[in-house]
Amino acid sequence: MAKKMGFLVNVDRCFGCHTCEMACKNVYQLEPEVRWRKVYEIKEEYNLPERSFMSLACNHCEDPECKRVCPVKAYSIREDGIVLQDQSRCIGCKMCIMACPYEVPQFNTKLKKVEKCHMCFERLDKGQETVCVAACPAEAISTIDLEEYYQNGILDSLPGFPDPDITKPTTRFIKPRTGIQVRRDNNG
Amino acid sequence: MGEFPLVIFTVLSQLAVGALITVVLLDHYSDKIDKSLGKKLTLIILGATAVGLGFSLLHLGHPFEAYRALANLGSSWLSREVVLFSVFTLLLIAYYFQWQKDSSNKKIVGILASVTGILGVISSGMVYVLPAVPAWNNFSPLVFFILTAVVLGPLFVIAVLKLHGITPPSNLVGIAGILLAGYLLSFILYTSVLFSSAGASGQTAAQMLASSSFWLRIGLTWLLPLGLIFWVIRKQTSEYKYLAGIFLLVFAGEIIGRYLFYDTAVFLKISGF
Repeated sequence: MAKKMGFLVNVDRCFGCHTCEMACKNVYQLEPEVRWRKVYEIKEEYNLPERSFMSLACNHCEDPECKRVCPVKAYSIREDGIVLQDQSRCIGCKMCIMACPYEVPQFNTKLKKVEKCHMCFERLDKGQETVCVAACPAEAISTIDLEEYYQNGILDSLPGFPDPDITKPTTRFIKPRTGIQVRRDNNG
Repeated sequence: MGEFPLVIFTVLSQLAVGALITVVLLDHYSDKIDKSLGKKLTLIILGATAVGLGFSLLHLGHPFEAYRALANLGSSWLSREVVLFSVFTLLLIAYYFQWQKDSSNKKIVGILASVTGILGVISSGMVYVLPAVPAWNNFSPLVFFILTAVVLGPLFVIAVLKLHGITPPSNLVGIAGILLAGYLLSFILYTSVLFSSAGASGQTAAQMLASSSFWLRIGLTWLLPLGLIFWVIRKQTSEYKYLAGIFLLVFAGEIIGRYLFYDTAVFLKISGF
């Protein structure tokens, strides 16, 4: 069976250090305003006492809107499910930016073309980890083959995410858990 | 105003399609358009289309590579839109020469160009039917783009006819008025549905209503022109200044409306991302 690659983000482990984001920018020498991976604080309510962070890149959707709307066929899906964008074909119409519900494709104002995460496919082909996975100090991100990987409690969406039925993203999540809290005893 | 080229392209291309349909219908059902006026009207429509297409290129990061946008006809409405408006332009050129030669094929070429133009406007609308933009992910871009064409087109032709001293058919102003009123009712219905929706659709309506341009648009596109049309019909006058005024008001309103279309749409967003 063909692979179906996706990112697994363990939100419980991520503490918002941005190392994955910076490692990606560094290796691929991205323009200052472009970030293929973004780390952000989750604003949705989890009823947790601590802050939670999320690291998100392209979701390498099974039914990508970017690919559907692109007039120059710059997008393609590899056999292992990785969604690639051939920047040499891009004419900068920004249709993919409008169509992606996850705001993944980004406009490079210097090149006047769009770009996005390609899941370090060349590294994966050599048996190496993606740059973000290798850089994460908390082992909060990993790449998984959805056809083989199974773990209890992994989710295909988190509160505040667009409906996954629109594009069938392959990113999976482990949601944050409530940590052990030590409270001062007011009567003591 | 980042989408200014698209505002100009969509409004001008829709004006061109609506005007061509009006010319073809008038040519068939009346004797108001002679050879010289037919050629002139076709040239103006061709010019509006060419200017619109020129502006659409300015939207691209690489305008000189626009020809590659034809590559994804299988799934991209943008590719289909590019093809249809390119064919529409070629058919308009052919239509001009049919007028020149007074050819018997003029009607067939005119109908072909009109159908291609309508399909082009439909493609323009479908480009914006995107699940990522809930306010657009419905019939509205399609319906409003078609309404822009069928309202602006006749009003433009009426004004040009009068400029050439020809009194437009008496019922044409009335038909334009009915279409404009229908446009207003559809817009009220659409805005009400958006406003009562949750999430991005509701936010789009709130942004729209909060904009002063929205109220300016209501006045320019609908209230003033409808009042003027009512007055023109009631007084049974067809003075150029009124007929041209109606067209210019609606045209200005449509430009503002299209700017609002792009500017107030709320995209699906992950909070904090």
